[in-house]
This record gives sequence, structure tokens and C-alpha cells, in this order.
Amino acid sequence: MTQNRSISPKFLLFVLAVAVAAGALSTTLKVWLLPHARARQVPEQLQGILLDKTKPVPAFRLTAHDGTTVTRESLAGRWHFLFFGYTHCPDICPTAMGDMAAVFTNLEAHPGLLDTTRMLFVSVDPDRDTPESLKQFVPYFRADFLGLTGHIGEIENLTRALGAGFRKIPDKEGEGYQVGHTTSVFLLDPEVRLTALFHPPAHDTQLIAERFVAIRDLYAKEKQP
Amino acid sequence: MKRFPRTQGLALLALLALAPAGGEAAEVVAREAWIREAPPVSQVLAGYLRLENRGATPASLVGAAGAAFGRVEIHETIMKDGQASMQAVKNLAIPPGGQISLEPGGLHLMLIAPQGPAPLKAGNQVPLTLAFDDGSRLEVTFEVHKTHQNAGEDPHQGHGPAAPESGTGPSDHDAAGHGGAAGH
Ligand SMILES: [Cu+2]
Repeated sequence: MTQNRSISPKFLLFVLAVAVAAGALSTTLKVWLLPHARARQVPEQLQGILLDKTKPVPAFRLTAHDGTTVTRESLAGRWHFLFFGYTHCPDICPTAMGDMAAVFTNLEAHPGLLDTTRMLFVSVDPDRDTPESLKQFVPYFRADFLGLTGHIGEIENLTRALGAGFRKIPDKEGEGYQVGHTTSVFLLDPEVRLTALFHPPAHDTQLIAERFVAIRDLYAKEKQP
Repeated sequence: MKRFPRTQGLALLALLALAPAGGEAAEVVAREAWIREAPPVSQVLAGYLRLENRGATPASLVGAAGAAFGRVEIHETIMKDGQASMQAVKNLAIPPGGQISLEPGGLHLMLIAPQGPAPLKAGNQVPLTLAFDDGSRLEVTFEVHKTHQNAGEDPHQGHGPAAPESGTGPSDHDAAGHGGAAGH
């Protein structure tokens, strides 16, 4: 008599499997629907800077000027400013890096904030920019700035996904070349998604610092249940 | 009108010799001339300044040279397809009564192949000679600054002999043989 009433272990397993699948599906849906499909309200002060939808960064693998490997995964958990440039660039790149150094100096007023913020200079001229040459260029602007270089395909993966670009332009005399490149500064959130873009000329470094703090505050608010 | 200290140097003499007959560019005044200090490894630097034409006729900057650099070009940063690149400018016109600013992200003097024994550091004074299309020239002392944030109005610019030959950096560099004027 008891045999009919008892719930078979097979059935239990089935129920468990359905529950797990449903849970996984809903988590997947949440992950898939929420951060990407939901356009956020962009406050007025962040118009034209904060994206209404974040953009995921694809997998990549580059070498930092200190010899370490940098991947998408290694960026998780911190905020990153990205600038694409090259060390043979005398005007735009040093201007942008000098500006970002001033932004970071401004951010020092916020205790602990720089512990979770990094500036990355990604070379768009990997033929000339070795980790060694980046080491002599990038930390000059600020000791904690990191220069990245690597295979051109890896760099292109990154620029394409972020909507950046670059191209080699040979000198007329044919003795060398320059590299045309995007001049925006890209901000990645701790989930390694493009979340904001700062466009030059943006010499008001105090304003960039304030906007970055506002973006972090907004992110923290969005994370609250 | 401000005057700039005259600097002797064989390269400048060479430049003067090459320049067509003409005098001082008395009508054009240079202000806030500065060079961005760059990482010591840099082989190209950028110089910036403001040029005022106080004359009644158009002036046109056609070149620049100095012992401190192998070559100097006038460049403009241009945006094309959302990407910045540099373009050489042959002729930079300054209308009568007008002015033109060479500043970060716009126009700059492209300073190629630094010649000094040591990299330029903030505070160094660097003489350059600007050449105009009428054959006149203007000697300008550029001061090296870390960033444009502290470039701005330079109280030292144009006051007395600001760049003594005994100074550090390229101003005491023996310029013989560099003759940066070639090509301009
Ligand atoms: Cu240039």
C-alpha cells in the first residue's frame, strides 16, 4: 500500500531538475534582459557622456608595460579609463594623458576611490610600442597608469567593440608613419562594460572627475535591490 | 610691443644666411610660447604659441628651425572619420590685426629629433626662429612646461635676456652642423 503513495526517487529528481532549469533560465533571462535591454535614465549632467545602454567588452589578451597579461577578466571589479594612442604622438596623446593625470589628481580628494580606478593607455601602434617603450612613456604621466600592447588583432577586437578606430598613415616622404586614432576616453564599469565616453577637448579635468564620481554613485544606486 | 631676446648660434646664423633678404618680422608678435615636456624617450615634441599680426598686411608663417631639433614642421591635428591625425601646413596665414593660436589639439610646431645632450625639462628655455613668407623672421624663446594647465600666460616670456647661453638644456648646445633651416 505504501508503495503507490510513496514518491519515486525518479520523480523527485525530475522535479529537482525542472526547478534547477527554471532557476537557471530566470537567472539567464534576468542577466540577459536587465543590464542590456533596459535603457537607463541619463541624468542631465551626464548627457552625451553616459551611455543609456552599456556595451559588453569582448574577450581580449594584451601585455602591460610591467610584463603582466591583461584580459577582460582581469579588468573585472574595477573601473577603467581607456585611451587608444601611440608613443610617437606628440600632440593629442600627451595632451590626453596629461589631462587624465590631472583627473586622477582631482580624484585623490575621494578617499579610497583610486583603489578601484585605473587608467589604461592601449597602443594602436604595436609594431613600435613594445612593453619596454610603453614603460618609458605611460608612467611618466602618472606612476600608476598602465600601458598595454600586443597583437594587432587583439587591439582591433577591443577598438571595434568599443566603436573606436585607428589606421596607419605613411609619411609623404615615405620614411615613417603616423597612426590616426580615436581620441575619446572610454570608461568601463566593474562588470567590464563600456558605460561612458569622454570626448576631447575636455580640458576641464575637474569636471571629468566630478562626472566620474556621479557615474559611480549612479552605478551603486542601480546595484541596490 | 614685446621684444624677444636674440640668441646667437651657428644654426641660427645658417638660417639667417638661407633666409631671403628681409628684416625682422616687426609686425608679428609671439606670446605664450611653450613646449610640452615629454617622456625622455620621445623623439617628437610639440611647441605651441600665439602669433599676433599687428601690421596692416597679411603675414604667413612658412617654417621654423632651431638648434635644439633636427627638424621643425608646422602641423595641424585634423579629425577624419572620427580619428585624429596630423597634417603638415605649408603656409599659416595671420590676417592683419588678427592672431592665430597654436594649441593642443589644433595647430602645433612638430619638433622632430631633439638634439640636446639631455631631454628637455620643465623650465628650460628653447630658442626657435620662425620664418615668414616675406623673408622676415622672428626669434622666439619657448619655455618647457609639463602641461598646458600651467602654460598659460608666461610672465617670463619676452622680458630681457631670459635665455642665457649658460643655461641648461639645448640653449648651450653647440649647434654647429645641425643647420635646421634646410628644407624651409
Ligand atoms: Cu605633429
